[in-house]
Amino acid sequence: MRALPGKFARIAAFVPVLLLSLAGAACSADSMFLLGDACVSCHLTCERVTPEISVVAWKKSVHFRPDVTCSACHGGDRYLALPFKKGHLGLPTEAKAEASCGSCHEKELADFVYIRPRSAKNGCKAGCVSCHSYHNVQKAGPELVSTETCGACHSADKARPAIEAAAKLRENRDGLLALLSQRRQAGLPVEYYENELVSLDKKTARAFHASGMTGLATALSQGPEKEIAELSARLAGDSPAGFHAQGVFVVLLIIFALIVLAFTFRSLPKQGGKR
Amino acid sequence: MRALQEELATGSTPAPRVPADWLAFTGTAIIALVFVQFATGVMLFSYYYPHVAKAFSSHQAIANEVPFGFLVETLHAMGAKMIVALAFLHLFLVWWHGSYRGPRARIWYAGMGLLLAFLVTGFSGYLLPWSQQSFWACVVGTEALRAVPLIGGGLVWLLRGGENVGQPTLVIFYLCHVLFLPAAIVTLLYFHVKWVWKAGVTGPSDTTARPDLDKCLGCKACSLACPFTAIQMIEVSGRKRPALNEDACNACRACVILCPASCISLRGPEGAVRNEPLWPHAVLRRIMASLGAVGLLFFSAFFLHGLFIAGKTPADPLLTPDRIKPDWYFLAPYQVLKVLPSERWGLAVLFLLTAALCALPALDPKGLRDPARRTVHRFLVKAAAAGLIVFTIWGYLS
Repeated sequence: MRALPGKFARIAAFVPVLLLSLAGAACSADSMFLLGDACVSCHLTCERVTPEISVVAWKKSVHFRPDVTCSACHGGDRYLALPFKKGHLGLPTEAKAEASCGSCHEKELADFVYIRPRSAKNGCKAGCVSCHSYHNVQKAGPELVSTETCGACHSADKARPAIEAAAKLRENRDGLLALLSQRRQAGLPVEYYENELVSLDKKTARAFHASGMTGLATALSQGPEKEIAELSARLAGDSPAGFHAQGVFVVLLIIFALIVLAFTFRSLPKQGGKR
Repeated sequence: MRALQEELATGSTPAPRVPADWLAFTGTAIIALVFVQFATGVMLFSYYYPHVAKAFSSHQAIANEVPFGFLVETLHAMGAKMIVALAFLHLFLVWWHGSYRGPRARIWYAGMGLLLAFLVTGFSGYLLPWSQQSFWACVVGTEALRAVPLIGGGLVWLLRGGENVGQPTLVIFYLCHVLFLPAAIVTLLYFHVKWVWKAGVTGPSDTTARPDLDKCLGCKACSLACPFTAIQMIEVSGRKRPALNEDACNACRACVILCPASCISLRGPEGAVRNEPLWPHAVLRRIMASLGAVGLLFFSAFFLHGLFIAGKTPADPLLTPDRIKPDWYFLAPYQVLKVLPSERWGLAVLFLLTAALCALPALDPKGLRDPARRTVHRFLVKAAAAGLIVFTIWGYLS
């Protein structure tokens, strides 16, 4: 790609980026960071990647933020449309893409690549983008384990146990979130459960990255599944209904005591006192 | 203890005449709630960490991880609000009935000290969770003192332990909240209750003492006992007999208690005021009032906590929230400070109002007591109560 003069590129980038930013600004002020972005100015208007437009797809993803712009994975400089020899990678190789992912998601990459290295006989041939996509990256969760994602490499029979285990995990997690929502609406403290959920999500991610397709179902049932069940049981026991039931009991006890005292008082002789 | 038992066995007190007289037991209800505050406070004290980096998380841990922690924390917070509400109600009732004169003046002074101690305890405790609301309410509340002439800056520095609200402020407020103020409250409460016990419960405000001249011995004990010089001994058929000035009588019962012939009683428009024994009648009434207050507290903590206690986010000194509001009992002074042209004027007005209220026994030492016959008094009490309510609501809404 022939490099445009920097100053002209910045000015030329302004118009489509402004249009994109204004559209984005109606929903979020975050898209103002796109002003002056040279990558977006070309790739929004002269798009070669099909079926999805990369910039539009990236805008819908969780990576649509100032610190994960195009140059994070494709190299170069977002403000100066640089040629390949000056750092622009174009379409990165698998290894370079993984290195980009690992620059932020270090632990996840370590779990995925080093525990089951690709060079090993049973190593996973997929990379990060095989499951997480490249532009339209969504928040990771059990819903990624699906026929659509796993079926790209694995047969239906091999993928089924993992897909079913992930679906069950998702269902139980949704149930846990519903209980948490009830508790939050009742004004009860939820921080403990929210922290546990974050920790659980990290363990779930680790189970996904560190297990193969055959081991995933077992890893989920022995780890996150059990923890979700324990957390749900604790949350069910700690429910708003339980808290309110305690309140009803205490208040009724006090009312009963008041009634007893009132009857005792009524039975006392009215007259009395020497002075 | 023996004196107490004897007093309980032989003593008496005017019985409530109308349902509204049950409001007279606000004092006992306050004591019951103070006990609850101490009990819940000890539990919170065991788990709270008074450091800016850990205060919020320790507070969250109490609510989330300590068994019954959320309930205890809510009881403590709601209890503080209820104590101040009952204290104000108690103050207005005593003021209305004129029960601050003569031997009861020191009870009033101790009571005002208690009210101020409750308010300052609430203010100091409000900071301890170290949430956005707490932090900024402390910043605004302490900053207001800068308007005090000459020493304002020094006062603010002393209270905060520095120029800004930070770790020294948290430690100072924590020490005040768990040590100095509870000690002050216990001391003032002890003397307040002791003096009430000694002076006896005052009679209803539309009653006066009435001696039975047939039983009177002419010993002059009533005349000497009366702090309002409402009883003068006059010669009747060659014998000394008490003559009562009803307008000066404050129904303090000093003469009733001290008369050796028990010939003096309180009488109102409907006749003699019925007395009831301290034990078990008066004690049972007080237990019921306390239980009612504690029941209301538990009900609020279990079912209404969402209304009165907002969700908390950790304090961020670099981010000023949109609405900074103190706890309900500071909304009225807060609004006064906002309404008046300068903070100095606002502080002056608040100081004068508080000083006038504290000095009430000195400003109004004797005279008519029945509110029905005191127009200015009725107006002042109602205006003060209405002002407090209006400014509190205004402060909440603004």
